[in-house]
Amino acid sequence: MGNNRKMKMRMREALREDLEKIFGKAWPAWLGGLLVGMFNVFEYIIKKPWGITSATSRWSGWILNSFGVDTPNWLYFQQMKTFQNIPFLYDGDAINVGVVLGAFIAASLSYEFAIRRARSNRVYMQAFAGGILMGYGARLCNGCNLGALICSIPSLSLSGWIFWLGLALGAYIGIKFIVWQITRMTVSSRPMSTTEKRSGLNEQRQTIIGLTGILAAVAITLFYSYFTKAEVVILFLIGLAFGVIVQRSRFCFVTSFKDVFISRDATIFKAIIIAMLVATIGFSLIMYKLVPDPSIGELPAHAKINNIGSPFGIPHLVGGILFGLGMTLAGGCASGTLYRMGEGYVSLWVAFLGTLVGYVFIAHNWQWLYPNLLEGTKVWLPRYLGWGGSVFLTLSALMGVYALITYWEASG
Amino acid sequence: MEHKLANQHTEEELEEEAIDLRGDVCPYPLIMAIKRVSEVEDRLRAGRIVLKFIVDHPPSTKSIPREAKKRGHQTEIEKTGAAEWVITVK
Repeated sequence: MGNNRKMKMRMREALREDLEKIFGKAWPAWLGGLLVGMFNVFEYIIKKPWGITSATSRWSGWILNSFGVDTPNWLYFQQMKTFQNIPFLYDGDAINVGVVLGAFIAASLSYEFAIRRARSNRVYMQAFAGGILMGYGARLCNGCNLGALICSIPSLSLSGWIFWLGLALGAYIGIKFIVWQITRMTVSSRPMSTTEKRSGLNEQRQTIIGLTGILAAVAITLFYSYFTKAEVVILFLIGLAFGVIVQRSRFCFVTSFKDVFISRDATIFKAIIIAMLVATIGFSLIMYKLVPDPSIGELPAHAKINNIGSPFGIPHLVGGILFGLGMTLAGGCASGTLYRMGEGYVSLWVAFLGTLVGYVFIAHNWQWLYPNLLEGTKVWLPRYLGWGGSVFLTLSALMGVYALITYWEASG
Repeated sequence: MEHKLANQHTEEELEEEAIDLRGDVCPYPLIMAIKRVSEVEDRLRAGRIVLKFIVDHPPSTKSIPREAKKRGHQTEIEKTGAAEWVITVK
């Protein structure tokens, strides 16, 4: 009897040690980049590259429709075949739910979960406005920081590069604005003894809610496997993995630009490049299998790549600027918003509501925008450079940016 | 005991200031911390003030110490609760 108890104790110790290895400290950023790149390739193998906003923009259409608005007849939603599906049970929906839940599990097992209320209502207003800009900007170029960037460049596009430039510009403007805002306010300070301890959840409670999160994940997995295709279940699990990875490695695009512009530190920026390098190799292999002869021009529908755009039009630059500004004001990019929702930031839930409103605005303007601005020549590099040339060019351009940013970092 | 008393004596002039950055998201905590550090930079160097930033934003536990170290200050991090850290800059 006593022996049995000792065994149990020892097992619990060992289990705790293992958990400590995963959740004790933040993961290095490069590891996060590597894993995001790999899981992005897995997701493409199962279905299509990682995206968030096309699924969430459907949510806003469904919500409006449930209030009696005739969204199924809006051009924007008509172009989305999956809009006719049952709400929330489609692949992209499963991934998004997975990311939030995965981040929640990771945050609570790391004792980092807390309901974080913002300093003032002004923060919520700013997050909401940022969300609207993000939603509008993302759909202008068919994707967020994922679809239009870390999936688009590895799909061998040119438009992804333009979006990245726009994103940097927008983030720069946003950060300048915030610096200006902060210089005008007094950073409140008081004697240490007067700061109240906040009633956060203690470690034991965090572990318990973390385990509850895992149970919820199991329940959702069972639910999806009973009511939908196996594919959706796998995508949900990939979403969970994304949530854990981005939470543990703080893989966030706002942080990446903030660190670069303020502290000359490109750790996360470089992790994003690593994610794209890995995905470029994986994506090009998959695309090559699907389209051996790239001279046919545009990727056929079965290649499931829809984030290659016209790099010469306004959409990707303007969309990037809007999205970059929006994410900085809101405090999280599309993926960052989801994982911080899981970490308990109230302001990011508000930002998410903002994105839903942003989608409604752009979907409403779609009738005019689509034929006048968005339909342009899509540039897919393999068409002009062949497989070898375009993969080589993309990889070396990414490594070039990596070298440049490292040089800039060192020269500070 | 004597040692402790001596310490107390020097600490009399040492001001300890808490800055509550809980609830703020990237990039606010870092920029606010930089602002406060710059404002009291001279007193920090002279060892007359200690800043204690209370944060609940995990990325800040990296970015604030890094920036303070770059400016030549010493930093310490203490996890004071669930999702709460105190970053000391002196």
